Amino acid sequence: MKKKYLQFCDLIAKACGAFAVLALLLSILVIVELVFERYFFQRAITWQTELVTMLLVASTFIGSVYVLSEKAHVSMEWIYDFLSKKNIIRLKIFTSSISLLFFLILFYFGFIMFEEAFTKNYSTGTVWDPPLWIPYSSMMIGALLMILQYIAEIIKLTDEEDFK
Amino acid sequence: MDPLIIALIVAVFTLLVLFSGIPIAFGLSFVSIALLVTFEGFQMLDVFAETFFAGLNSFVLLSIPMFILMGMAVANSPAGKDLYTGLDRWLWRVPGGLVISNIGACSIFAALSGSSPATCAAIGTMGIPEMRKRGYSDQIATGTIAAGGTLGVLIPPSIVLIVYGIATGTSIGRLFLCGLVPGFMLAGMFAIWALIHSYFIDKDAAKALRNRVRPTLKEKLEVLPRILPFLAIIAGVLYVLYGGVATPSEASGVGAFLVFVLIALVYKIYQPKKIWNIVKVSMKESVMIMFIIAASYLFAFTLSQLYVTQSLAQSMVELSSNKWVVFILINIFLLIAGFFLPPVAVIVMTSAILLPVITTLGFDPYWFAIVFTINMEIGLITPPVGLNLYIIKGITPDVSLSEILKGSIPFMIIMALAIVILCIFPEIVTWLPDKIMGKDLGF
Repeated sequence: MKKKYLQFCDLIAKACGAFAVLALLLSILVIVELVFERYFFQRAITWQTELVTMLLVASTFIGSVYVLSEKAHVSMEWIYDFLSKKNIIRLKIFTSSISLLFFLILFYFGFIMFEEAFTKNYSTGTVWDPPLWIPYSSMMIGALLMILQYIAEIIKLTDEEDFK
Repeated sequence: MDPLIIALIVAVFTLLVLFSGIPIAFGLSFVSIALLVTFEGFQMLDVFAETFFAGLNSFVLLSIPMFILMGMAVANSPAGKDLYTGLDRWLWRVPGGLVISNIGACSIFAALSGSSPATCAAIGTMGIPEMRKRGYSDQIATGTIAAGGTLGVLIPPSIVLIVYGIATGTSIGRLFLCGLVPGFMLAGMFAIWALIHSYFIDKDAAKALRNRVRPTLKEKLEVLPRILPFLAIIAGVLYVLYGGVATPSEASGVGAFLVFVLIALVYKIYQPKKIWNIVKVSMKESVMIMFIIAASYLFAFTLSQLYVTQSLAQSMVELSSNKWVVFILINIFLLIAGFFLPPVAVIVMTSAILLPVITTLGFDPYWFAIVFTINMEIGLITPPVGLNLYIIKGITPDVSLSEILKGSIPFMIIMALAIVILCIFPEIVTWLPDKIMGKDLGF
C-alpha cells in the first residue's frame, strides 16, 4: 500500500513536470504568434497575453510538484552542518509538516476561490473573456498535488528515521 | 503594538523559520500566514489566496522563464564552449589571459541569460578545469567564475532587474540600459584584478603563460561564424527592448525561440529529447524563482497590512539628516538581507519600504536599482545562501568551499568598490539611458 502510494506520487511528479514543460513550450509558440500578429499583420491582440499568463501560473503551481520531487526548491541548509543525521531527518520531517500545513491552507482557500468563480460564472471581463475558474483551478490542483507529494516525503523521511 | 516592534518580531521569526532548512518560498508563505492570523485574525485568510495568486498573474513575469530558456539553451549547447575558446584564442597574449577570457565569457553569456547561477554553470564547467589545468591556483580559478557569474544579473537581460521593475513600477527597458555600462565596468574591474593577481601574486599563472602555444589566425577566425549569430540575437533582443518596439515578455519569447532555431541550425540540436531536457532544466529554475516571487509578494502584503512597511520607511528617513548616512545603512541592510535570501525575494519584500525612502532622499530610483543589484551580487557569493558558491562546488567537488570563498573575497571587495564609484559618479548608470531614451522625468 505504502509502496504503491509512493510510486503513484512519483508518477504524478513526473506528469506535473511534463505538463510544466509543455506549458512553457506552448508559451514560446504563442508569444511568437503574438509578435507576428501585432507587428507584421498589425492586428489587435485578443487572447494571447491572457493565455500565456494562465500557462505561466499553471506551470508554476503544477511544475512545483516536480521541482519538489527533484529537491530543487532553494533553501538554507546551513544548519544541517551542525546536526546529527538523525536530527537532520527529524528537522526535515518538521519543516515538511510546516510546508504541508501551508499547502493545506492554500488548497482550502484556493478551492473557495475556484468554487465561487465556478458557481457564479465569473470571467476575466476582457475581450477574450475566458471563465476565471480555469486559472484559479491551477492553484487548487497544484496545492492538492503538493499535499500528496509532501505526505510522500514525510513517509519517506519517517522510514529513514526508523531505519537509522 | 508599535509597528517597529512588530518589525523586529517579523525579522527574528522569519530568520528562524528560514534557518530550519525549509524551502525559502514555502517558509516565507508560512511566516506570512502565521503573522496575518496572529495580528489580524483569521478573517485575513480570505484574501491570502487571492494575494498569492495575484503575485504570479502577470504577463511581464513571463520574461523570466523566457530569459532563463535563452540562457539554458545556449548553456546546454556547444555555444558556451565556442564562446569560451573564441575569447581565449583572441586574448592569448594578455597576461592572466585565460582568467580574463573567463570573465569576458561570463559577461557575454550574462547578456544571453538573466541569471547568475546559469552563467556560473555554463562558463564554469569549461573554464574552471581549463584554468586549473594550465596552472592557475584553485582560488583564482573558482573565484573568477563565482564573481563572473554574478554579472548575469547586472548585464541585461537580468531577472533581478525585471523583478525590480515590476515591484517598483519602473521601466524594465530603462533598467536594462542602466545596467549595461556598470556591468561592463565591473567586468573590467574584475579583469584588472586578474591582471594584478597574475603579475604580482600568483607566480604559477605567469609560468602558465609561458607554456602557451600561439593560436593561428585560422584558429582565431574559425570560431567566429558559430559565435556571431548568438551575438546577433543579443543585439536584436536589446534593440527591440530599448527601441520600445516590443515589451520584455515579447522580446524574451522571440529571443528564446530564435536561440532554439540557432542551436538547431549551428549545432544540430533539434532532437525532441534534447529540447525537452533543456526546457525541463529551465522550468525547474523558473518555477523555483516564480514561487519565491509569489511568496515574497504575500510577505510584502503582510508587512504592509501590519503597517511595518510604512513605519520602517518613515523611521529610516528620520534616521539621520544626512542622506548618505541613511544610504550607507540601506546598503548594509541589503547586504545582510542578500546573505540570507535570494535576490528576487529581497527585491519584492523590501522595495515597498526602500523606494519611498530613496525618492524622498532625492536619489534616482534607476541608479538605486543598479546599486541594489550589485549588493545582491555580493550576496550570491557569500554563505549561507551564496548560490554561486554551491554551483562551483558542484563543478569542482575537490576544491573546498572555504577555498572557493577565499578566491571570491577580492571580488566582493571590488564590487563594494564599484558601489562607491557609482555613488561618486552616478552618470555611469544614467548616461546611457539618458542618451538613448531621454531624461527620466520621474513617475
